[in-house]
Amino acid sequence: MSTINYINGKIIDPRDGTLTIQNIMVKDGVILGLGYLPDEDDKTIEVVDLKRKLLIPNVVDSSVTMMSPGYEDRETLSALSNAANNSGITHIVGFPEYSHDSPENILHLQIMANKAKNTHFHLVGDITKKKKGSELAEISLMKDEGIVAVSDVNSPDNLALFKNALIYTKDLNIPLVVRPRESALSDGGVINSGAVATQLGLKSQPMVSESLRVARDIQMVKYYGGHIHFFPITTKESLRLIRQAKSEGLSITCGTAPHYLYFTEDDLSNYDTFKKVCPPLRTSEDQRALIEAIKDGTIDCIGSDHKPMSYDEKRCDFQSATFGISSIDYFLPLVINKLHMQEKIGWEIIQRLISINPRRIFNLPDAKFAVGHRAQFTVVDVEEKQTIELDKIRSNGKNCPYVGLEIKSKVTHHVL
Amino acid sequence: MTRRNLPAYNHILMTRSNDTSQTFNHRHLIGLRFLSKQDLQLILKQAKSFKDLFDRPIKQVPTLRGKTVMNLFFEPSTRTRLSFETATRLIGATPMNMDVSTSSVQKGESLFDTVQNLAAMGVDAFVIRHPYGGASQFVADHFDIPVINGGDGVHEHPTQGLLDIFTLQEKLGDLAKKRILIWGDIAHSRVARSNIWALTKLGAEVYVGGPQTLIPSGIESLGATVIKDFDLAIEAMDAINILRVQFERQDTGYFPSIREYKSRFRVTEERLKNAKESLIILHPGPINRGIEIESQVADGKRSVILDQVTNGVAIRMAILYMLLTGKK
Repeated sequence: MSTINYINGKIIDPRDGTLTIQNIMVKDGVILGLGYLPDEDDKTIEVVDLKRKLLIPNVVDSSVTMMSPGYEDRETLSALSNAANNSGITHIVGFPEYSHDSPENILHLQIMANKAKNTHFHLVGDITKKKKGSELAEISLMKDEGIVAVSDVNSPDNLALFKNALIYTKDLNIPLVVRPRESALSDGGVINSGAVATQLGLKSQPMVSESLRVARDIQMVKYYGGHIHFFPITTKESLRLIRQAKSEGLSITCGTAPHYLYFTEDDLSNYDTFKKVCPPLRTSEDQRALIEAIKDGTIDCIGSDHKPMSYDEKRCDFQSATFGISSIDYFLPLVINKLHMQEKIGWEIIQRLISINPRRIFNLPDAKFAVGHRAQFTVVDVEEKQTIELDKIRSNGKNCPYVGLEIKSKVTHHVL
Repeated sequence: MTRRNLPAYNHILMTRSNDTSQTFNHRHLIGLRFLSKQDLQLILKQAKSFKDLFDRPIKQVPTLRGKTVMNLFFEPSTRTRLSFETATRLIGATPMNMDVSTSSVQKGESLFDTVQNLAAMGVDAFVIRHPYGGASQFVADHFDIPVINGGDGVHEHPTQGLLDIFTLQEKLGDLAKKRILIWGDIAHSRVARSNIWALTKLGAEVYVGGPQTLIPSGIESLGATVIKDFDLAIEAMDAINILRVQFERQDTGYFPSIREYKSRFRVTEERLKNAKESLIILHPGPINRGIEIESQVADGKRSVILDQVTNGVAIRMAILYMLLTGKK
């Protein structure tokens, strides 16, 4: 039965990014009032002074791989949820690494995830049974258990099945999440094709592998309908295609991850396995294109693309190491540091990328920042500098390439 | 150390002490892309000293006596391994060989554990050949024992690159402005890459050619120029390094058939008729007689293939010497 008044927080105006100071009165976790000033004499109300720090409601990480069940050596659900909480993430769109293609699987995982209590998990089921690409999974029954999207990682190779998946999910109004890739061109590749791959002597994945699949999938959506959310997008050419598709009003959305904004293939000259990801890091030209696409709205959201790996999976030569970056810790500060501090992108865009757009794309329930709704927000000190430290990483996965990086901004409060 | 060995040993020491102004400051030999022009020249000079020993009745010197050099070969190799073994023995050290095909690696032991266990046995240096680029770097990053890259995937084969430039310099003199053509399967060749790095540092003009499907993208970034027409280019070349057609590395059809490869890309006496009189032929070996190189060319007067092999031993002695007696 507690009432807390959070005073002096800066709220972002979604129209133009201007910041206004507002107070939020919260009773038993529900917003009682916005802009309400406490009675001087009312000592039962606890006052928390946010000291003009930035307040972002309902921060969503739109792409997190859940290693439990199945790969508990990489990460347990409780470690994941602690890491998310520590990073100020309120909602996670969780992609189970292990196949989840039935309502029973989803129900079980949801129960396990709910036990964690430190963040809200919104689950993604398989498109096809066992992600094998031959038969549709029980998508409707899974939706009844609460999935917000379906994904087989890549879009189905089988076009006839893909057609049915699009028509079926359109009917259910849930998106297909696709990591676009042509396996025939990319399999075996561990780095972007080009001069760096040639110099390092590594098998590579060409950029056309991504853009070709994007082009194909856009054509399918154009003809059959449905909604595809591409994640992550990493190349200039893919962005060009998506921009074109959006201008035609097609139901296509996309996202990218911070590592594609921080690093390029040039950062791999020492064979750092912590930077080995799929799709691979691209060129600086692609990086510039991603930033421009964020500014013009082609990119709808940023997700951490969190993939924790065990120590031994990364402590080997580059070719043999598994793909993945442990990126949920420091997710929000890294996004703010890159986009606002370095690239001077406005707050309204950033709020769209990590809150408004993912909520819309995935139809997340109960996420309004208004009187009568749950108070769920993150407070960030955007002036405070911090150095990313290995010891502070709460995730079980320590494969974090940002360790040692000095960034500006730090999460100070997380209210759930 | 018998009295008869003494003069040879002193000769090497004298060569090294004469160059007090330049030192070789590398702990490992991972690739030629990391070496400076001065580093390359130091190595070549040192190798020359060791090569001079080969004329003596007793070629072995006790320089690295008591040191163990472990050959860790995850890919089949006879010539490189034997060359390293020979070099190791000639310099007085003891070679050891880990035969991967009968080792715990077959039971799934990781590269890290394999090396860690061997390191615990008191090995003084590793020579590592591995199917993946960066493997030697990985071992060097995690262990404090000097690593010589014996070939890692398609990344580099530094000792081969060194013996190639040693041979070229021996036959052509100063390599600045000399034109060297590397011909064949460039995409899968670590030898090509090591050669390009070294030759460009020494001021040579490096050209690459072969089936266009086997020219890797971005090869120009190493400093090489891609040529399309062998017959046009050959007149200006001072040397050709012919690469083996690597059937074992090819997974998809880069060219339709061996006969088509031979017809378009094989180096024959006929195709060399407009080449310079002084043009020399190199090949890293083993040769596919009749496929990438005509027998007459392999055995002909231009061929320095066997010199390469001899020089390889001298180069490897020099590398072992410089890494195992250098600064920590």
